[in-house]
Amino acid sequence: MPIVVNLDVVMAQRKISAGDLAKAIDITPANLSVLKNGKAKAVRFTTLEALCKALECQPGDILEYVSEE
Amino acid sequence: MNWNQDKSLKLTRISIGIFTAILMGMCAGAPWLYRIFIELRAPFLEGKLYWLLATNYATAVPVAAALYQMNRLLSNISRDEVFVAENTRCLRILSWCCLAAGVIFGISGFYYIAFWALCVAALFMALVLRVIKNVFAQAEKIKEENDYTI
Repeated sequence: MPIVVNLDVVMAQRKISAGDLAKAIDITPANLSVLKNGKAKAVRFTTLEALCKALECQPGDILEYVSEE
Repeated sequence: MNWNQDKSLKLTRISIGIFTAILMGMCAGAPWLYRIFIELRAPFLEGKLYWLLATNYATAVPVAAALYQMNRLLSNISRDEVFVAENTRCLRILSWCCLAAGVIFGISGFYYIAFWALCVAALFMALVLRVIKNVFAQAEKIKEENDYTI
């Protein structure tokens, strides 16, 4: 998929663990893992908002468009 | 009586059990049953015992397969696994079982015309199951998308 999730990079920069982030944005660690591994088919605005708030970043820091060509 | 999904599933399971018993009874007692039937329908079915037995045993195969698939489908549903690939496969096999029974009845209609009524009923059932299978396949896709929406 041309949309790449850079969540692990931002998490490493902010030095936050997956468990702590899952707790902070109120989703299960399993769902966070799905998101981190790029297996998610869609991201809710509420999840994105919670992620940006918890990681103090912009949506563009987490999601990136990479052309397939 | 307080009716709920568990009781409904149990009732369906019991119904499958009853139909399995009927199928086994039809297979075990077919020669005896068809002799009585031929006597009742004389002289239309005179000398057609072996044809009727052939229809009975040929139809027993898709019916047994259909009962097995229905049981699998119910087992999955009782485990809350509804819109999964296996259930779509079960419904597809069920549809093919109905089609096979319809074909057998269609051929049998050439020696006893009443089988054509069963043929039409079985083919219609196959069509209904095919539509339900298509709905399940679509629902499976929607569920997958929903499961992977975070």
